[in-house]
Amino acid sequence: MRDDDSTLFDDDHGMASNLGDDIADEVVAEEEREREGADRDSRVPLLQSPLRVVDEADVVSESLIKRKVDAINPDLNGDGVISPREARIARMRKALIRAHVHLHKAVRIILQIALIVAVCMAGERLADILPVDVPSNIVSMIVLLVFLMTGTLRMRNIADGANFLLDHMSIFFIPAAVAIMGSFSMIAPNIIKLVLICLITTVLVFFVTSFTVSTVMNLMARLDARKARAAIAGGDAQAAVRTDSKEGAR
Amino acid sequence: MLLTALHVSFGIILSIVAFEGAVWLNKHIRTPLLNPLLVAVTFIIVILTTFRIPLSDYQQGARVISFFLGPATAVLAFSIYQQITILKKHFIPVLAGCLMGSITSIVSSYLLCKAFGMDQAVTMSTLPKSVTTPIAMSISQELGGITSITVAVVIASGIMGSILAPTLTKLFHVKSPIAAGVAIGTCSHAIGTSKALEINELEGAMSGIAIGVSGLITMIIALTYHSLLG
Repeated sequence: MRDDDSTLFDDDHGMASNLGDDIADEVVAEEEREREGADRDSRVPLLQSPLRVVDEADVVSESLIKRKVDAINPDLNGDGVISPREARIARMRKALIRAHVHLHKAVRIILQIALIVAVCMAGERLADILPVDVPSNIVSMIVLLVFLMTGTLRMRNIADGANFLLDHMSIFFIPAAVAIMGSFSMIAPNIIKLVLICLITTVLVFFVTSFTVSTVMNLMARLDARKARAAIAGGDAQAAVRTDSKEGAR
Repeated sequence: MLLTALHVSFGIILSIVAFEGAVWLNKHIRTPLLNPLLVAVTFIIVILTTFRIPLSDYQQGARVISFFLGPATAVLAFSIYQQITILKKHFIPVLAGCLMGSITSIVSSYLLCKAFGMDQAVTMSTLPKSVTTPIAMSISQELGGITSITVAVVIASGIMGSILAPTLTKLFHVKSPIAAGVAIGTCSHAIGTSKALEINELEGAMSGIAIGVSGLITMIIALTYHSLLG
């Protein structure tokens, strides 16, 4: 069923490994709907953080709404005809369902953010105890990462709250950026120099990074090719590896 | 009582209104220069200076918003965790690229700042200019820089990277989208990643990973240097 042109779920990218089949189908259906522009009511999020991979949580709530809305039978008195009054009632029920699911989602977001804040406070305490001078934000980040990797916290426990924070991250930086007003005297005379520094370093970093990644990938590809050739020629994998290392030592 | 309530809510309301307005503007006029954060901040600064409202009044209310900086930073871990599968596939090239990129960023920022004769505080503020804002602010605070300057250079680098990305890709003959993506993410973090996502999904994904990896590497390098010398 995945013969669609949605390269998002191409296995080479490995991105779909934690999505179930039905959710994947939902996302494809969702994308098709968006492409047709048919469903005007569905919430197309205005802010999409580039740090999000797949908004699994959004898809689940949209599919829930769709399922419940489809389950309504507008024909209340069973006469096979939908009168305007019945249609109106059906519309109100749909709106209520939508509001209901979104309310649940909002509450879930608030609770999950509270959970994340709790982890951050634990991180702050931990940062004070640590002998090394690591910023508390970073310690909280590492603590959360450890929790996720060990399975103490599941992704769905914080998915909604986390996606909300990621999408609106720019808002949280507005106060910090406005504080520039206080240091304007330091920036104003140097502004051209700062712009030049930003420009030059950005270009340099881009060049060095892309060059390194390309070179390392080429090297690794060549190493793999050499190993494969040696294994084929020698006919014995073990001997091939030993020969390779001997060649390397020489 | 009412006056205090007004005081506090002023900062919050102004920030949210400015941001929503900036997002609306960005939706209609799509240019990377109209970054919502940039527009919102400019708008607020203009309002504060025009009406001669002291910065502290605004910050009293806005402190509620900046409280969420901690959780917003921690949530980067969530983003990294989601991408671990892709990261494992290309681990060594990505790590090598981010490492060299981070070193280049720190060293070139430092040398250029000294060459241009900037003072120590400003230099320290520009060192983490290529990593995403929350991490950059933490690094800057530890190094003794000025956080607001750091936010400014970080946003500037992000915008420059996102504008220059296609040009640089062609200029340096970068064939692999993985290499291009990691490069964009390392030099221009989240703002560049939005641009990378427009070009190609793989580039965008790699760019997103590079944000996390190069952020962590830059932090390790900067803080090790600081604790060795400081």
